This record gives sequence, C-alpha cells and structure tokens, in this order.
Amino acid sequence: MNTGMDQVPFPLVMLVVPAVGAAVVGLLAARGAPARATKQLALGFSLVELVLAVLSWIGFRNWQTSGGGSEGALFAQTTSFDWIPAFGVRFSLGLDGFSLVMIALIAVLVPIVLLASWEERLPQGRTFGGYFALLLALQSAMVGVFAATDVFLFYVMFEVMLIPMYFLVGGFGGPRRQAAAMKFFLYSLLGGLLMLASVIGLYVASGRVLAEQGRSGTLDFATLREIADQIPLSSQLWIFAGFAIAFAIKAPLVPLHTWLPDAGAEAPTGTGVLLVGVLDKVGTFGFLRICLPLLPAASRELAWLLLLLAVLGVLYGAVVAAGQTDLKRFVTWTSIAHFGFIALGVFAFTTTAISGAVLYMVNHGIATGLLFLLVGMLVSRGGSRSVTDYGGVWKVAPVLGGLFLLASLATVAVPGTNSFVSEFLVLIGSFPRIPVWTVLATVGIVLAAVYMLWVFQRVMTGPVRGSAVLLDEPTGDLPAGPGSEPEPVPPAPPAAGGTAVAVRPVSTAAATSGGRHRTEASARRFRFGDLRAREIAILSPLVALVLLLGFYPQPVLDVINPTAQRTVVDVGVTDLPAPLGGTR
Amino acid sequence: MTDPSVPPIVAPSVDLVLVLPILVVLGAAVVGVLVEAFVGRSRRFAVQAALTLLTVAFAAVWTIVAAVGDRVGVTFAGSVSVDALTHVAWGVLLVLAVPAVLLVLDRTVEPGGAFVAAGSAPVGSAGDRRQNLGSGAGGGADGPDGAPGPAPMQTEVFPLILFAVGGMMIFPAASDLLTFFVALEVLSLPLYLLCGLARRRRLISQEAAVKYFLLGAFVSAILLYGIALLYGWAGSIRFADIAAKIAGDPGTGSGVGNDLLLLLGLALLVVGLLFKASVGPFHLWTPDVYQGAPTAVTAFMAACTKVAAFAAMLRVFLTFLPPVQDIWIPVLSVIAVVSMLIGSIIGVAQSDMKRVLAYSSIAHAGFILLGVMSLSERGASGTMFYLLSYGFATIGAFAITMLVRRGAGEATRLEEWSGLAKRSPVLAAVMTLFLLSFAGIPLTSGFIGKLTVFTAAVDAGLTPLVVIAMIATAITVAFYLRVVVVMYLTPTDRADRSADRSAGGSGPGSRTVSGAPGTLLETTTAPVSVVVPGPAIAIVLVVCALVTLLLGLAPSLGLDLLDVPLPLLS
Repeated sequence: MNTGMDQVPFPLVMLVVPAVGAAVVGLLAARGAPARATKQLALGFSLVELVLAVLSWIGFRNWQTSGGGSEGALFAQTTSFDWIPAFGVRFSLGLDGFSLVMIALIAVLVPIVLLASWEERLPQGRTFGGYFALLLALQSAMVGVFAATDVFLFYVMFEVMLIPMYFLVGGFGGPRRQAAAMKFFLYSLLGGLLMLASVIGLYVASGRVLAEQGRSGTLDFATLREIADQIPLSSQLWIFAGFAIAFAIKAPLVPLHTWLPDAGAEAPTGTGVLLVGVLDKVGTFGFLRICLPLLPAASRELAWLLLLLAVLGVLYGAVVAAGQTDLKRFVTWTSIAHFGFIALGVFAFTTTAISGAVLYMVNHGIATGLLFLLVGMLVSRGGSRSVTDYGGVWKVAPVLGGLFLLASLATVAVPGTNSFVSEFLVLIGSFPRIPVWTVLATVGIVLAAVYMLWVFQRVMTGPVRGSAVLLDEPTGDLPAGPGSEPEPVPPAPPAAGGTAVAVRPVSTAAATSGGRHRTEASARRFRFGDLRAREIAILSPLVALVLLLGFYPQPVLDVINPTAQRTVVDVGVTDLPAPLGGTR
Repeated sequence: MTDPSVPPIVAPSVDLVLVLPILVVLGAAVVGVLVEAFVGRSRRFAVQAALTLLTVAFAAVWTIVAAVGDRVGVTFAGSVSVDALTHVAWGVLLVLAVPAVLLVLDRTVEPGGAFVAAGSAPVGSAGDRRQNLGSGAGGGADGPDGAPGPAPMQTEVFPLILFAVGGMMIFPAASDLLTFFVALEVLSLPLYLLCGLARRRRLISQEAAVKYFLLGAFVSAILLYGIALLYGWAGSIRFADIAAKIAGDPGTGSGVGNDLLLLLGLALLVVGLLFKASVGPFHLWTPDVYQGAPTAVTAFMAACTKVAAFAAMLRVFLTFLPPVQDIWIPVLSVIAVVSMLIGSIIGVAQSDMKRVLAYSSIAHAGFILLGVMSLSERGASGTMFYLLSYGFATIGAFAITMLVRRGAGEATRLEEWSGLAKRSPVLAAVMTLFLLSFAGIPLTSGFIGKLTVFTAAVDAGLTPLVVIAMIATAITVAFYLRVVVVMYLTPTDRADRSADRSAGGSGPGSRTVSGAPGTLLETTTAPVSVVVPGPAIAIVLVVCALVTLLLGLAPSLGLDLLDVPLPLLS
C-alpha cells in the first residue's frame, strides 16, 4: 500500500547485518587478528545496526501515520518466502509496535555493551574477537525473535538465541560460569522443547480447522490469528501451557526463575545487560505475541494463574532482593520483581496496561542496563561483588555514585525517571479489571524503595570503608560475602586491573589533600577512582534515555498503542479505560 | 493327466530388475570372497575397497533412478515387495553406507587399518603382538613409515559389510515371514563377526561380538517362534494374507485381543524388531557392543542397522497394526517411553564417548518409534527423514571419536576430550554441530527430524508421548552439553594425571581394560593426540557436516525425496 522507505524489509537487513558481523569478526579472531581491530569492526557493525533501527523506526512511523496499521495489515516492512512447504512454514519477518521498540532497544544497547566490554577482563585463553562475535550473533538472533511473524521461525530463533548466550556465560563469565551456563541452557531448553510441543500442537490444531476450508495447517501468525477462536478451548489450554511455561522460564516468573540470579551474576557485565535487559523480555513479549492473540480463550481462562505468578514475583523478588549481598545477583532479583509488573500489565487485558507493560520492557532494559553497567564498573574496580565489601563509595567516586543514585531511582520508578511512566500505566491500566492483584502489586513499589535504597545506602553513603574500597583495610576484616570468596580477581595489586585505574591514590602519604576528601579518608589510599570520561560517555546515552523517556514517553507510546489496542481486541475482551483517561 | 482337485503349480513371477540393487550388492559380496582367495595379499585391500565402494554407490544410484522412475512391484511370489517405502529405505541405507565404508577403509588413523590383521591370533600371544608392532619395529607402537609397520588388516571385512548391506536391503522389502527372517540373519551374522575384529582393545571387542551374537541368536529364536505362531494363526506366511486375515477375520473386529496366537506371534515378532533397532528395554546389548566394536563398525551399525530395522518395522506395523492398533499403541507407547527414559537418564551417567553415543542412540530409537507408531504417511516419511539425519550425524560423531587418540588406541573417555577445541577447533566445531543435531536444536537436521516425527505423533493423537519425548530430549541435552563443556570450556588436562586417576577404575570401560594384558594397556599412559584425518575420514566429516546443516536449513530437499505414499504394496 505504501511505497518508499517504509516498506524496505529492515527486519531482514537487521537480522543479517549482525549475523554477517559475527561471522566476519569470529573468522578474523580465529585467524589471529589483533583484538583492537576486531573490537572496532564489531562496534562498526553494531553502529550500522543502530542506524538501520532509526531508519526502520522512521519508516514504521510513516507507515503508521499513513494508516498502514488500520487496513488489515498487521506488520510493516515485511519479508516472506517459503521455507518448509511441507509444514506450511514460511520465513516471514515483520514489525509491529511491540517488536519495533524491542529491536530499537537492542540496537541501542548493543553498541553500549560493546563499548562497556572494551576493557573487560576476559578469562584466560579467550579473545575479544570471540566475545564480540558472540554478542553480535546474539543480537541477530534476538532481532529474529522479535521480528518473526511465523510461529515456527519465532521458535527457531528462540532456541538459536540460547547458543551464543550459553557460550557467552559459560566461556567468558565469572568463576562459577560453567554451572550457571548449564543451568541457564537446560532451563531454557526444557522450556523451548515444551514450546516446540505446543508449536506442533498449534500446527495440528490449525490443520484441523483449516481442513474444513480445504487448506492445510499453517504457522503463519496472521492466519492463526484469524482462526484463533475456532480452535477448541481444550486444545488451546494444552497449547497455552507449553508456551506459557517456556515464556515463564524465559521471563522469568517466580517458580521458574532460579536460573536467572546464577546466570546474571556469573555473566560478564555486558552479557548480563543483554540477558536481563533484552533476552528475558522475550518471555513477556512471547505472551503478547503468541499467547494473547493466538490462544485468546486459553489466555482468558488462565489469566488468573499468570497474574498470581506475576504478583508473587513482584513481592517475592523484592523481598529476596532486599536480602542479597551479591551486587549482581541483587540486580537480577530486582529484575525478577519488575518482570512481575510486566506480566501483570500483560494479563490485565487493557490497552493502557499492555502499553505500559511494553513500555516497561523498554524502560527496564534501559534502567536496569544502566544499573547493571554501573554495578559492573564498581565490581571491576573493587574486585568483589559483595555489598559488604563496599562503603562510602560516593566519597571516592562521586560521579559513579551520582549515576548509581539515578539508576537506583529509575529502578524504584521515581517520577521523572522512565520507569515511573510505565509502572504507572501498568497499575492504572490494570486496576479497573483486576483491582485486588493491582493493589497487592503496589506493595511491591514500597518494597522496591526499601531494597534499592538500602543497597544504595550501604554501598554509597556513610564513611569510606570496606576491603574493596580501601587499600589498607585488612582483607580479613570483613566477612566476605558468598559472591566474593571465589572471585579470581585478586584484591587488586596496583596496575593488575584491566580497568586502567585499579588504584588511584587520591592522596599520597605526603599530600595533605584538603580538597575533595576532607573526612577520614584524607590519609588513606583507595583502590579505585571515579568514572573516567570514557565510561561516562558510554553511560550517557542511557542516562539521557532514562530522563527523556521519563518526561516525554509519547514517541514510544505512539508506536506501541495501536498494537496494544489490537492485542486487547484479539483477546476478545472489552477494553476498560483507565480511571484517569490513560493515554488516548 | 491333470487332477482337477489339485491346482496347477504356477511358476512364481520373478522380476530381477526390481531387486537388481540387492543382487548387485550380494553378488559383489560373493566376488569379494573370491577376491580374498585369488588376489595377491598386497593388492587385496585396494581391490576390495574399490569393489565395495563402487557396488554401494552403484546400488544407490540405481535405487534413485528406480525410485524416480517409480518402478514398483511385488515379486518372488509375493515375498519381496519393492515399493516407495523400500526405495526410500534403500536410498537412505545406501547413502549412509557410503560414509560408513569410507570409515572402514581408512588407514591413516590406524596404520594398517582399524581391524585386526589375524583375528585368529589369541589376544596377547606372540603373533598378536607381532601383527601390531610390525616385524621390524621393536620399540614403538607406531612403526615409522619407512620401517615395516603393523600388519595390514583383514580384508574380509569388506565382503562382510556387503553381505550385511544386502541383508539390510532385503529386510524392509521382505513381505513374507520367511524372507523376513532370512534377511534378518543375513544382516546380523556379518555384524557379529565385524564387532569382534578390532585391532586395539581386542578383548572387549571380542566380548562385544560374543555378547551381540548370543543375544542376537536368542532373539532370532524368539522371532522365529513368533513367525511360527503367526503362521499357525493365519495359515500363511505372506504379509498380505496375514493382514487380510487380521482385517477381515469375523472375530477380529473387537475380539481380536483374545486371539492368543496372533497376539503372541505379533509380540514376538515385534520384540525381534525392537531388539535390532536397539529400542529399550531391548537395548541391553547396545552400550557394550557400541563400545567394544571397532568404531567404524559401530558407526555402520548405529546408522545403517537402525535404518533397516525401522524400515522393516514400518512395513510390519503399517501392514498388520491398523486394525488392531487399540491394543498395540498403548503397548508400544510404554516401550517408547521406556526407551527414551533409559537412553536419556542412563546416558547422563556415562563417562565413555562411545557409550554416550550408544545411550543417545537408545533415546533416539524411542523418538523414532513415535514416528513409526503414528501409522501414517507423515509418520513414515518423518521416520525415514529422522533416520537419514540421525545417521549422518552419528557417523560423523563416531568419525571424530576415531580421530581423538591416546597412544595407539582411541581416547574415548570423556575427560580425555578436554580442551579439544583448543587443539583442533574445526573438529570441535563439527562435533558440536553433530551434538546440536542430536539435541534437536533448530537449524540442524536433527531438529527437522524431531519436528516431522513429533508432528506425525501429535497428529495421531500421541500428544502425551510427545511431551515426554520433549522432556527426555532435554535430559539428553545435558550429556551432549557435557561433551561441549569438556571440549570448549575445560582446560586441557595433563594426560598423565587423568590416566592415574582413572587407573582405579571409574567408568565401566576402564574396568574392563585394567588387568588385561599388554595390547590393552599399551595406550593408557601416552598423551592424548588428535590425528589429522586422512582423505577418507575428511570426506566423511565434510559430507556429514554439510548434510546436517543443509537438511536443517532447507529441509524440503530431503522431505520431498523421502515421501512414502501409503498404502504399501504386499
């Protein structure tokens, strides 16, 4: 219906570019190319991807404003060709509002992650070429998952995504990386296989429905959506169960979440950002993309169960997060609480709540990405992941402290940060339909403030203390947390750190340093200094997005809303307006 | 002259063109035996290898031509039926036999070949030592190229393989009970022998052969008893007659379950088939035989025997079971579940590469059984696709197992593979590809195999079994993943340390080894090395990897070729 740039198959290009990048970088690394060259090349590919994402966004808006979404076409910028005719499987990609914002999020995060990993301390024998190639491969697979408009292709990408992630965690992570990677892989694979059973079930069920029209089974999203109401409820329930378990593992919702703290804590920082920031969203995205529109009856029937798990996640995640002493595990637990909010919004079945949930997926990626990166920078400086090894960091590293505060506030969803908008939308959108669940979830906000500020207070404020911060602190002085004890990074001797500022004596013994550190720190030496300009530059896009989307989320909501409305219609319930009018 | 009460004897129609591939293969096998007798020792290997390869390749090409030309029919008085299923089975079988033969004829990995030079020399005797060390080289196990190396392998291996292939070709084509039984014996007897002919670790090789033979002979007897019962019930050995009686017997409709002869006869027949296909709980021979047999033979058995057994099972099930499936599907369901769970759960505890692959094959047999049980067109072609993809991946995996060596023997203990990715990244990557295919990860052929078979099963109403199969798959992935972890994420262990550790005897394999005389222990202290594959193995690896990828990316290539239209001829 439209010509010009808005129908360029950007999803396909954005799937191919990082895949090619991964192959090129991987091959160069295998042939012994210098690390610097491979890193720059990988960054180049990710920047091209970012440009493509911007172009894709512009094209999508053109398509949307020219009425593209309203004329029956579900997806923009589509590609489709036959893949396995025997199963009615097509290789189809396309964008709707949900997938576009997620792909844009990936495109923004990957270059930042690459830059943040620039000086990562890799385990012995690993090369940056391999690491960056795997990150690009992961990006390609994630684009595929979000852009797939064929259930089969979605499944394929869902599984393929595991492989680079497995090697990223298992090959490049912390001391217990192998166990964590194995746990992650087996959990995800079990979910994936149950999902495969459901994909097959969906195919067979569609075949039975379509046989009446003389057509054979299909896994095409648009066709399945049309016949969704004709699949009997009993079949839908089984099919839904398989998908829901897979997505609940991936998201992760509470009883199936135990892999995330391990994988997130052991993953290298950059990988952890993508794991928590994007990869986990595949779960909630899957609910929106597959469960709600294609299995509406089962979704309505089982919504209570998912809502229960969601609220359980909000509360349980928050309580456990408050008890964490390992900084990286702490971030993953806060995420588990947030995924509960997202799932709550998804299964509230109102436009406002679903829009809020999708916006939450984006915002959480940005805010938690920022927090995770900051934690990574802190941990690589101090050489310990344990909260108890830190204290008064703000005095040593004021910029780090300030950004940490911002990220913490974004995590708590304080007004003015991006998370506030989405959390607010989810809650007011959910309230009309599921008041009790919503009220229960609201308790989670209070708990969020508790766990987040508590950690902030312990790590950042107060007197400078802790073996990770002070050089002359006897290491045995403080009980080492569980995360710190097997850490291979020695209580860093000067210059051993990959981060160039392993030690920056703020004041040498002779210097009186009456300036910045007037307090008890004046005569002490610190293990590390503040963020360098490079690090601040890396973080600044995320900081800008946190604030920008906090004050002006409308551009993103404009993209999301039509798809959210369509999804509510697909579920077959009447939309309930939010009490405050919500968003248009 | 003619007595009207006795029907005239009609000469059975014999269409030799239909069965030409079988005739060629068996004929070449006979020629191979003659070659042993009349061709000089020095040229025998080349002649035999060329003869075997050309024969198999010719049969494969002929089968494809015949399949394209749709030359089908029943011949030999109804005892051999050549239809689409037969053609597809032959095609898959022969296509898999080529790489298997290439593995057998490789002499770069093991100087002189992987097979014993004189099978009759007792293990540990002077003659046995001589044939391995070579007459000239006193010290090292591997004689340098100039010095007279180990004695060349027995070339009877090649006709034996051809006989086995011939039997495997008759097996799925057999459409009367006697042909069926004879085919089973023709394919089994050479395999028993082949298992015992390993050059290294001869004792467990011979143990494997004896075990396989004893159990196989026992099962043959069971099968024969089943045949007798079926004949007693139906009064005919022809599949067509028996099937007609099952379908049309007035008492059959609902009361067939009470027909003890039929029930028992079919049961015993099915047991024989399941044994050959190494479906649990009839799998007990599999791990030991797979471990003990020369690796090339193991690859041949794992790929080709499975094809023959499952193709024959398809014919038997599709012919006999539809009218009585209410009784049989529950029974087979239990068997499939048992096989999947035995293969996956016990597989997790294995520490020997060949045993890992053996248990994996048991689990896969359970998955394949789901396709056979669907009793549908999609199930039949899905089964064949699964066998094709699994066959290539499994041959490739065993080929890599041949290359990882310690001293003169293969290093099959899992910990000996540690750090393989560092040493030979390409091999590790290819092995990972095969393992991913076993695991059914998308974009590999194994995934499409699972997809086709499971779709057929769901279509046939076996959804609970598919869910169990998914869980079993997840368990198998645990041990496939362990191999990947060992190869990629574990640092190379110092050979001697691991040898010391295992000297106490940890795995079942090492226990067999310890305490055995010289030839068995010669390998345990040397460092692990990876042999650069010779041309034959290199070709096998490239082909297996390409097929695994290609059928994963563009499965339509295979799915269209392997279409098995029903009903079958009989």
